[in-house]
Amino acid sequence: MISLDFTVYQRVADDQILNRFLDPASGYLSQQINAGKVTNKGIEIALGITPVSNKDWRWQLDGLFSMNRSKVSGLPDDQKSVNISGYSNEGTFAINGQPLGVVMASAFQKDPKTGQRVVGSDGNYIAANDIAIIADPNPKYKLTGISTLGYKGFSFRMQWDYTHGGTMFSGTAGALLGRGVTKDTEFDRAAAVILPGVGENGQPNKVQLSATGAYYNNSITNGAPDEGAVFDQTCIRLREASLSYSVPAKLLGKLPIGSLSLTVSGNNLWYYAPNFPKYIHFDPEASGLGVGNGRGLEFLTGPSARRMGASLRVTF
Amino acid sequence: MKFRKIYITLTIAFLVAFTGCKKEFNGYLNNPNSPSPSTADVDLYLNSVQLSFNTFWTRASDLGAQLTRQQYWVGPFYRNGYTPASFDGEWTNAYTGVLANSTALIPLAQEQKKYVQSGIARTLTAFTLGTLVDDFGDVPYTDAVLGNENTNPNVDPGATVYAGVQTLLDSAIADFQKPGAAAGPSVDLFYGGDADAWVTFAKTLKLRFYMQTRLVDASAKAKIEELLAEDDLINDPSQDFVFQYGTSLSAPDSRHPQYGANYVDAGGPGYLSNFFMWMVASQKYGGTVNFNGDPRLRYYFYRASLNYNWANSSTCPCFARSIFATSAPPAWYPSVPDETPYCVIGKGYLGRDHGDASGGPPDGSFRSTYGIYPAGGEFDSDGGDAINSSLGLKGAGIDPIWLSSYTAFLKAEAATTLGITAAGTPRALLQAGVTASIDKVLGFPLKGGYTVPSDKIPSTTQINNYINLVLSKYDAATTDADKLNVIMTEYYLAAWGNGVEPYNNYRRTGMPNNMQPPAAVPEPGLFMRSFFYPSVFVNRNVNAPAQKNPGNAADKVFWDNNPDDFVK
Repeated sequence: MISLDFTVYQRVADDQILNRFLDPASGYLSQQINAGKVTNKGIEIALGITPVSNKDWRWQLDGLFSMNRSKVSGLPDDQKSVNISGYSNEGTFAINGQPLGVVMASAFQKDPKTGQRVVGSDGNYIAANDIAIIADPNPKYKLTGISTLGYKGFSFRMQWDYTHGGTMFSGTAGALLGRGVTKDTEFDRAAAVILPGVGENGQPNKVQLSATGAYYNNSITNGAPDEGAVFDQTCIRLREASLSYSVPAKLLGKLPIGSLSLTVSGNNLWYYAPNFPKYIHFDPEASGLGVGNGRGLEFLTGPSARRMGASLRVTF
Repeated sequence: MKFRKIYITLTIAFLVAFTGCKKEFNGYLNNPNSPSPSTADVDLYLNSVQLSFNTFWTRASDLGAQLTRQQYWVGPFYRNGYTPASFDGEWTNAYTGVLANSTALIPLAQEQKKYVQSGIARTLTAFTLGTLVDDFGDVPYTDAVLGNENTNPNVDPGATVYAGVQTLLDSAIADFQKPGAAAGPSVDLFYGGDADAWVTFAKTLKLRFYMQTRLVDASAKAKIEELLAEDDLINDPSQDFVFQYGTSLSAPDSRHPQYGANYVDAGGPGYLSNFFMWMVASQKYGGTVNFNGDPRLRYYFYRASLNYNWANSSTCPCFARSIFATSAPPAWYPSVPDETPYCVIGKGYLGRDHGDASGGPPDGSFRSTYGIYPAGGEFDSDGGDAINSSLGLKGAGIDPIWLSSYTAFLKAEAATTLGITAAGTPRALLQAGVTASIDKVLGFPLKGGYTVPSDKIPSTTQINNYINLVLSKYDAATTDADKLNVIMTEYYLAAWGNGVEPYNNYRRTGMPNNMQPPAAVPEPGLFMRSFFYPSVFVNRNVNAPAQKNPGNAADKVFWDNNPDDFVK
């Protein structure tokens, strides 16, 4: 038994009500405007297969693939960007021609020829004077797989999620690496480090630093650009697993009970973000901006929780 | 007849209903809970203007003080010592606080004949605009504060804004002197509504702004001469333009911001600047801390530790290279401690070197902090007690925005550089400035109800010795530049708590000429001759000019025609 849902969509949201932040030199800080256009294009595929289905056994597999691309256009010419959330120099923005919600914050100065980071005479990276787009938190695609296995009264269900791509600023990872308090930095602190990049003359950097200096001086804890704490948020996660048992009606025959079932379940049981430093065990779903439209910025938020539960359900 | 009446009534009702419809409903758009600008109270506007002005000034002052080594500057390079967002507060307070409220206040005040209020708003607007030019260069002025009419204001050249500043001050003076004025403000945080005092302040500001342009405007001299001849200037401490803080901890926190930030119960204060403490305590005495030297020393700084017995490689990593250990400062560094400090200066004073960007060691309980003047902290009577949030004047300090001593030093500068000696010889003016400053500082605790232990009050001999030492340095100077350096150095020392004037003076005269070089790197880049444009300006305004490039470009403001590498 196979089921397939396939959706292709293009959604245009026009003339939105936006809170536009103003240059204070106008005398005011913000203005309500009616402008902008966000185009969302995407594909969603849902596939369901039941490979086994007989008297005792039943195994169902569901897969979900989704991919979305957004693009901002139609902001008036007199507007550079709209600050969606965060701060004017560290926040998520709507900018013409860019996906909605790109992160702009302080960045490293780049060599115009090679695009490499520029290193100053002291061996540390030089910050650029303007903020720049440092991250795009919109994932390339998402996959979800759900398996439900049933044997007689038992049922075992698990859901796996995979997010591919998208980048974020992580205050936690940046700070822990900069301060050297995670096992990822358990190496000889006095070892010589030469930061990859070019000097101000365009030649490869040759200035030697100690590992302590290289990590601390160029980390966000020392005020270095936010770009140094940007990581890929690809993540695989066991979102949920549960095992339940329903007592067969036969056994309940004479008891005044309609049905009886016992379930043990767990939420957010395991995850792995391969592109974050290993020992930080960072959860890329963390957000420092709270509930709202801002993603991709995290400022030392608490770790995400794993939840376990058991339930007994009885009906009369 | 009856039908006709009904008919007419209906017609009128229809006419009223249909023609009046739109206007009738417009009225409901006015929210009675948020009063419109035209019905607002002039005096309440004035409160906001004065408070915003002071917030603006303290922000500008802190930034200027950091660059001129009055306060600690983290550094290590001029290009990365700040980010554009460091200047958002100053910009926002200036435009949305001082300028927006003044612009709304002035027409209302004129209509209600509240000329004193309108004069105060104009004076503070002028000071704010001039300071914006001093700090940022070209800034929005004619396009500014128009709200919806112009959300992307263009900048005006600095010289144009400066001309506007003088016009504003003239119209402020005219306001203060206009006959038939209604009652003055119910609250005036600076002069208690005294219009004459405001006129004197406005004229002093005129002098200050003309002096600022003396390098690029030959016509400034005549105007300065005129103001000095009239001499309606802040010449007496009773006329000082200061903002007085209170002791309330919350709702609102009325304490001096440096008291609030540094007199804390846990964690210790921030760092003071080693160089400024060394200038007051040691510079005139061969680099050795001298308590019988500058009489202001114990008033300016408070020590939480009287020695360095606690210093080791973890609590003070640079101590091993200080003069109290191996005395091995970086090779490219000037001679220590006679020419400049390194790491520590002696007698337990603990601050930080200019541009020392290394991480902060666990030295919170040993750091020195602001004294009783002007932050309202504790007097240093060799107690060496730990800092907490209820010491000294408990935060009832002042912002020394303009003092009579500054006027004397400015006159001395005019006498030395422009030859205008109507107000006296530079030497006499220097003496007057130093004396006024010492009087102000030494008299400060008692005004706040704090009694300094009698054995720690500097004696008349000590005060006279100090003044004579300054004068002998002046007499020993052979060139005008060296003489001016003595004057500007004393101005710098008198301006503790005020970073606005030293930052202007340093760029105008390059003095004091012995400033500590940034201590972490030999090549810190060019000194920041103006600030970054704020993040809120360049990131939100399509007409904003290109961002500055500190360290690599001098980014000088219009009145600064000194060479790019003039100061370090």
